[in-house]
Amino acid sequence: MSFLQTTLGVSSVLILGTLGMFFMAITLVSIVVFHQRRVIRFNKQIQKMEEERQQMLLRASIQFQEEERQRIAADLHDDAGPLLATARLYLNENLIHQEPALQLQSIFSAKQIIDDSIQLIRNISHSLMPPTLKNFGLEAAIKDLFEKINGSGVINSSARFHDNRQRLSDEQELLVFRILQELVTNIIKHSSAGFIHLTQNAQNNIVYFRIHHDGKGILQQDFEKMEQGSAGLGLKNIQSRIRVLNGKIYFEIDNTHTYYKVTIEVPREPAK
Amino acid sequence: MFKKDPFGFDSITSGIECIIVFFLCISYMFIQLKGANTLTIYSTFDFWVVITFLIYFSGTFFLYILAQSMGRDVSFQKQYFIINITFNILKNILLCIAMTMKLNESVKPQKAVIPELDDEVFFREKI
Repeated sequence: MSFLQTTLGVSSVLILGTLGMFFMAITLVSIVVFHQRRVIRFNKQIQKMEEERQQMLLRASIQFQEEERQRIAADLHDDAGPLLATARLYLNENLIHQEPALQLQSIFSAKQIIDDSIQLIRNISHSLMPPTLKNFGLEAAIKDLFEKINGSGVINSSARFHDNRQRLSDEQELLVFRILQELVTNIIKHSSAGFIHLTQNAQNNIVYFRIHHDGKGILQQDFEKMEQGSAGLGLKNIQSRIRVLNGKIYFEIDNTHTYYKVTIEVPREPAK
Repeated sequence: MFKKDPFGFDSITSGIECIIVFFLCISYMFIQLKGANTLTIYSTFDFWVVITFLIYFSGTFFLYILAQSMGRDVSFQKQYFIINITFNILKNILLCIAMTMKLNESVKPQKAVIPELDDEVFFREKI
C-alpha cells in the first residue's frame, strides 16, 4: 500500500481503488442479475413447452371423448332406433282388429326385436365399462379380453398375472385396462402379429405390465415422435392416462429383434 | 474525527468489517445464482438491501483503509468528505428503493384476494 502511495500518490490510490471496487461491485451485481434473468427466461420456455404439451394432450383427450360420444350416438341412432321403431310397427293400434294368430305372431316378433334392442344396449354399456372389470377386477377383465381375442383364431393371445394379491385402486385398474386395451387394439390393427402375451408382476409397490408381440412394433423414439405429432390420437390417450397414473411406459425390442415389448410401470395406490 | 488523535480512525476494524460485509453479500448472490427462483431478483427487498451495502462498502473500503494513516492530510480530508458523502447518498437512495420494494411486497397479499373461480373443476377436467 505504501509503495503505491509513494509512486502514484494518495489521491490516485484512493480514487483508483474506490472506482475499482465500485465497478467490481457493479459487475458482480450485473452478472447475478443477467444470469438470473437468463435462468428465468429458460424456465419460462420450458414451462411454455410443458403447457403446450398439456394442451395437446387435453385436446386429444377431448377429441377422443367426442369420438366416443359420436360412436355411441351412431350405435343408438342406427341400431336401437330402427329396432324400436320396428317393434312399434308390430304393436300398432290395428293389432286388436287382427286375427288372434296374427296378433300372436306380431307380439312374438315385437318381443324378439325388443330382446335384440336390450342386447344391443347391453353391448353398448359393456363397451363403456366392461362388467368383468367392474365386478371381478383387472385380472379377470384382461383374461376375458385375451380369451376373446384368442377365440377369434387370428392371433394367439395369453395373459399371466404373477402377483396380483394386492390390487390397484378401481380408478387405476380402469386406466390400466384402457391402456392395455388400446395397446392390444393397436397391435391387432397395425402390427400383423401372430401372438400377444401379457405378463403382470409387482415389486416394491410398483406394478409392471409387459406386452410381448411378434408383429411390427414401435420403439420409444417412434412413440415420442408420434405422440407429439398431430397423428396418433390413441398414443396421446395412452400417454395422458400414464401421466394420470404417475407411471411410465417403454417401447422396446428384444436383443434378437424377434419380438417387441411394451412395459408399463404403475406405482401402487391401495384399493379404497 | 481527524482532530482527536488519541481516538483516531481505526482502519483495521473498518477494513475487517468491510470484508465481512463483502463476504456476506457475495454469499447471498451465490445463493441467488444457485436457486431456481421464478421471481426476478431485482424485484425483491433483500436484493436491494444487499447491493446497497455491497456498493457502499466497496466504495468506502479504500477510504477507510487509508483514513488512519492519511487522516492528517488536508487533501485526503477533502476527498474523504466527497467520497463518503457520495456513497452515503447512493446508499440512502438504494435503501429507499429497497423500502419501496418492501412496501410493494406488503401490499401484494391484499391484491391477491381472488374470488372462487372453480379452479378445481377445471383442474379435474384437465386431468
